[in-house]
Amino acid sequence: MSVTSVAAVKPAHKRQWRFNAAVLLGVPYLGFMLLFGFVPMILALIFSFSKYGSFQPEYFAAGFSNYISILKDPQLITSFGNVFKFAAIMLPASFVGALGVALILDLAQDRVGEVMRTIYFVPGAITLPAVALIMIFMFDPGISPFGFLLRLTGARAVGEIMTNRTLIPFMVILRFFSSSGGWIAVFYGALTGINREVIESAMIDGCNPWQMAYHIKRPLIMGYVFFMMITLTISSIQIFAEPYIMQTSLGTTSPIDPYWAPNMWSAFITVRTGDFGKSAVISLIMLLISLIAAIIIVTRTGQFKTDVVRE
Amino acid sequence: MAQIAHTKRNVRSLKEIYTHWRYQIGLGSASYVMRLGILLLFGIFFGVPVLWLFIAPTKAHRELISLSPLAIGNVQNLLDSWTRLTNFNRGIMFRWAQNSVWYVGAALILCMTVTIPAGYLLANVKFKGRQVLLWATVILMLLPGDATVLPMYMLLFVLRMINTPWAVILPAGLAPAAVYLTYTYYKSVMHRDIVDAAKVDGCSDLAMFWHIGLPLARSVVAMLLFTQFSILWNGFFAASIFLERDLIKTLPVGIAVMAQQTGALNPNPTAYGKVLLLRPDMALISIFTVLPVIIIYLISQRLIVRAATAGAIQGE
Repeated sequence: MSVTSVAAVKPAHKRQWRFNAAVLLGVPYLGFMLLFGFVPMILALIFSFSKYGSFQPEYFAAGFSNYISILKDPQLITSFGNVFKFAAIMLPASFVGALGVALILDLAQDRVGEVMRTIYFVPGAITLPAVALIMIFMFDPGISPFGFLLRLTGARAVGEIMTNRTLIPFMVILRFFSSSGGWIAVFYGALTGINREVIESAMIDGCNPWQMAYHIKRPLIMGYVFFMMITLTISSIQIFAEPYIMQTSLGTTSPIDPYWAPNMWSAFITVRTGDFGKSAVISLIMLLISLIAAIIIVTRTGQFKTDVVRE
Repeated sequence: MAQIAHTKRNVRSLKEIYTHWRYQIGLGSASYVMRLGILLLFGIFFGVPVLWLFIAPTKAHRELISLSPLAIGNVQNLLDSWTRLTNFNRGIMFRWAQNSVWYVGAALILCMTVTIPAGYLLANVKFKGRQVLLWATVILMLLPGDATVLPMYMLLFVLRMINTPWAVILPAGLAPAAVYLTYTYYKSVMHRDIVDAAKVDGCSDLAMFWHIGLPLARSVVAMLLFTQFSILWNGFFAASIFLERDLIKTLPVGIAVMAQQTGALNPNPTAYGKVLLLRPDMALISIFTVLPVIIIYLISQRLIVRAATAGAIQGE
């Protein structure tokens, strides 16, 4: 809009050059951002008020009926309940696990620590469907290297281990296996960046390495930990690959139904029934939760520098 | 006598080594052993499943149960597994691999072409709306891609792109995390005074991007390629929904298809009729899929971690 106006008013001015450069360099990104970042959200909003039943969707014909039908559906509580339960175990497990291991790694700098860090990091490279398969094998008492532990429970088959009751802890182990190595590496990176003077003065004051890890180092990297917690909250709500693979590959013996997580439920409605209206409502609920969490990270943690004025 | 003196000297030197080691490590023996124990336990948790995955295809289906879990089988079993995999749907796994390579290749080129100029622009050019663009970038970056998959499905449906490779290639043009990383990179390498000095000399923003920005981009491109490659290669949710026809699927989606269609993981595979694939075969297709990423991960561990912490590092 203002491209032409600026160009028309001040054709030879230096500012015009900058503006042109900006347009050329940023236009593709802006285009992709609008098309794949914001248009889908707006479309979802439009579709959520539209009626799908006949061949042609009737836009804005549904009023709030899609919202009402989803909010009244008992599946809403079940699906969101599942992912919230997952998050409720995943968050503390990652807090204790990832942060704890990073602090323990940082107690000393040695070759063992380096090797271990790499071992923890590798599962992050594995695509989630493969992780799900590996974990199904790991929980099969017959073939798992941890089978001796599993057999202590008296179970003989994977179906006896993976029941409705153990499903969520199972998925937490799965996600922890795949994601925490990356977080450990991030925390460890942050820990090695701590000012050595702080560490040395604590040592002079008689602080032992464990006290130092807990009382001095931990508070200094809490920004990163907070960042992890919010990111995990967002990704927990979006969980799809693991329950999907378990549902489809274990067939009738699987304790999971096709609507187990909101994303599965929404995908099922979208792809199988073509009712974009209802699935848009589910997506919008998830998007809203994620957006709020994202805004909290940006505004509360100060982790991301977005202030171009004070440079 | 001489021998005793020699031994004593050795003892002293061992003691010296120990003292030196204690000084280096900064931990008492008990603490060191405890640290080692905890690290090893986690090492088993993260390492053994991966190790098992690489061993499993060397065993026959029955041997998975009859042999010890970490015992290595033989090459013949590995070849048998490979044959079963390549026979599945007349070698469709090669088609999936080919798809994965070309989708990811095209997506990476698109992503770099869009991202580098945008990151440069945000870091070094003053323009109206810069703050808004940066905010939008950060917000979108924190929304995981999966959050918009279904709204995206609706958009691609409207654009008639569902079931075409474009459904997974074009969205790669929007990589806000990569743009933010490029932005922080240019902020740190192109100091204000360099930019100002170049401007005083009459260098335009575009010329500066061409002569200074692009040559400097090399190291950030490496970082972006590594991180984006693993994200794109491993992508599952979007690909599994956008690509419904078997012939255009990718390897990660292929794993799910194989597991679902053959009942390889099902405790009663006979319920699926003829058994086409067995458990060792599923382990082998997983290795086939993840090996490129694992290799890249190991090579670029530092770069990937640096990319992940980029947002916060500059605050230190």
